[in-house]
Amino acid sequence: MIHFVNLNQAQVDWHIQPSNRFFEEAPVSHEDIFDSVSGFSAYLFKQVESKQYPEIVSLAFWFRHAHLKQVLGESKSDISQKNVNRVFHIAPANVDTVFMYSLLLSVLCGNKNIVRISQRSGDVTKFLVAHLSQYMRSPKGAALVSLISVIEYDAQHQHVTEQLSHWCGLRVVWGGDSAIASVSKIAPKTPQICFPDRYSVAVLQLDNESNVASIANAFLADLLPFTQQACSSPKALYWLNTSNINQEKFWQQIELSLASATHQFGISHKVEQHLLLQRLISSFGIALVDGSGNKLATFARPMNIGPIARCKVKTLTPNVLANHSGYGLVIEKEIESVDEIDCSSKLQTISYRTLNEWHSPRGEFKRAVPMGKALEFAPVWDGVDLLQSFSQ
Amino acid sequence: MFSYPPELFDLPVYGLPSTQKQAMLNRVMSQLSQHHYQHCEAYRRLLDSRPFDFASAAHTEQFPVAARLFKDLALTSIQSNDVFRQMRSSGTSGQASKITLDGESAKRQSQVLVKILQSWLGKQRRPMLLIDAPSTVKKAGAMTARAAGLQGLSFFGRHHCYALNENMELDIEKVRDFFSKYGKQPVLIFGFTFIVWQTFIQALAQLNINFDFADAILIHGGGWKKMQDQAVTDEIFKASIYKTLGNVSVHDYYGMVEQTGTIYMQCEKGFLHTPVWSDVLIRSPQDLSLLEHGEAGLIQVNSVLPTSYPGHCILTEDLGTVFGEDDCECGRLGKYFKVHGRVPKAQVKGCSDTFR
Repeated sequence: MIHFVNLNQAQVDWHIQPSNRFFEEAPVSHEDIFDSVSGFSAYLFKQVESKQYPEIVSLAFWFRHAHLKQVLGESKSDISQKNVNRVFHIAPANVDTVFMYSLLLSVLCGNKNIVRISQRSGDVTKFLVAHLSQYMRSPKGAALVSLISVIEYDAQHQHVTEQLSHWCGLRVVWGGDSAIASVSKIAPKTPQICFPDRYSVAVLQLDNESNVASIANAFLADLLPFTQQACSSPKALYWLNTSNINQEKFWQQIELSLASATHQFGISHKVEQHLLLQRLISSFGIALVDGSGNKLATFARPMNIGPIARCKVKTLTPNVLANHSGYGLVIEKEIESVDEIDCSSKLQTISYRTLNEWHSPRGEFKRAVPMGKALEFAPVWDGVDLLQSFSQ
Repeated sequence: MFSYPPELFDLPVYGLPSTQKQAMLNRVMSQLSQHHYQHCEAYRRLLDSRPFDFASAAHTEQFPVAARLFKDLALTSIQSNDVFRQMRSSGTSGQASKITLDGESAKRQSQVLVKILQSWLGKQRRPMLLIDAPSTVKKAGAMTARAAGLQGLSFFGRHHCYALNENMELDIEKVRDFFSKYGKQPVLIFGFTFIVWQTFIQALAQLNINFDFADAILIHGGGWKKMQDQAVTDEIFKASIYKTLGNVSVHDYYGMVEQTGTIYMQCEKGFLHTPVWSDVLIRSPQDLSLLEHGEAGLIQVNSVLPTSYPGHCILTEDLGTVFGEDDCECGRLGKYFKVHGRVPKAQVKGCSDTFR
């Protein structure tokens, strides 16, 4: 039985307080948990505000009853036989829904979970935590009371991280290289799975018959959420044997589609796009392809496509992509074969749309998915089988 | 070494008509671009990324380096053993800008600052009240923008009196003493905008103390960012100062550590003015195209001064509007403009965000 006797209450803020039942060892039945988690999906769909956030709609869609059955059915792990374990999740600051997937998958495995959220958390995180808390007070959500608690504290209170790390049997760190480095130093013997910095790219091939409108929408579905800053958002677009005319057609369609698309891009992102291009050029010596034709060229700046921007380069290295901070700048490069894609251990997702069957490039990357599905979550994320990790 | 046209620094500060000024800037700025292209690798990469004929381009078409690059990179056009001083921005969040100066550049900056300010203050040095603590300069060794401002302006005063104590609190006895000695003669008051407002004007108002200076000039700058929360406008700011201090001529100024020496003073009509050695351009935040007078956009500042770092054309993250050139009602020549504030910072929303 753990009581966190040493946690200074002034330094922590429990969004979902661990109840007495949280400390009881008696496991909840897997059927009850399953009903409760899929019930949360139905609950989220009922909230009017959910519709404002496409990422919450996707989350709710993912955890609906039928899809969960399918996910668990396909998993090689047996989640019904295990003893109760304790998992401590560190959610990334200011993001998104991704930690919610790891939390709920862990819950489905019957684990008790404490989630640390950052004080800098964005609206989506706050919305989700508030609604989860409310849902857990309903009859259907009651099964989660013994499995979930959510805490917020300043990362500089290292002793809190230390105690929670000693409490758990597994620590899950979402949040990039520097976050992982600083957490790993605290209670270093704690078993841990990490999700470090990654970048992602898209590959596109068009001909005169291609349905440009549907392809543009698929590309924007990968690019727009999280203002292109998620690790699976494409930072670069590789043009595979595609004529300039068809490339232009694509960008014209993107501009059209953006006019009616929902996104969070604003003037500050526009300024970041100019800045980012300058930073990448001055650091890595990128040469741009001059698209000005016969007109007298001016200094380098990206081409404006509504709220996003693009620029075509002659060479592209993993370093450039790893230093690309998102904000809506798409780096383009023409290739004749997918083997020209700059693979590296940091390349996470390749989203593709090609005329012929997809062939993966030589070199290291984590996954390849059809364009439009880059941000879709999978229980094997970044090479880590979460259900297996949570049920060992 | 970069050589300037002879007598460049003897030109009248606000007296050169547009056609002559723009021709001079076109010539000097393209030479500066060539100079930095030869001496600064990062700048060379920027110009090489998409070839254009910068040697013959007008100054309005030279590559504007984003101000934030000075935070991320060491942008310098001199050898490390020629570094005379490194300036740092007073930015409160994140990394500070690093600006390297050689002796020549530092001297040139001071000379130009003196010429600009003398055209507002006259050559006579005035008794000076500094709205800051004496330790600000000592602590920073004049390497921050605030310390540099205090030190630079001190040159125009005598009998210097600091109005704040070491804890940045109003030292009312010292201010009373200053007023009783010099209140009837021309004096100079200088401070950072939010410090003047919070720690001086507001503090005096709370104590219910007013002074009645016979002839004072208040110069203040450093931005309104911290005061926007308090909804203090230039008008309210000025009105409170007249009420609290008497006959004061109040001048805001705009400037940045990346172009120390070039400052833009606010005239009696409320506009900031470009001195002859500098120009202001407004670019569209969308595509960086140049905007017309009267349109609001990103402020670009061009200055002939920087030779030790490629800061002659800088794209700021401030929004502003140029209202005209050579026809301000105050009578000064050159462009006149207003600053509207900073572009809000984009929120970091990535998976790669840090554990903070």
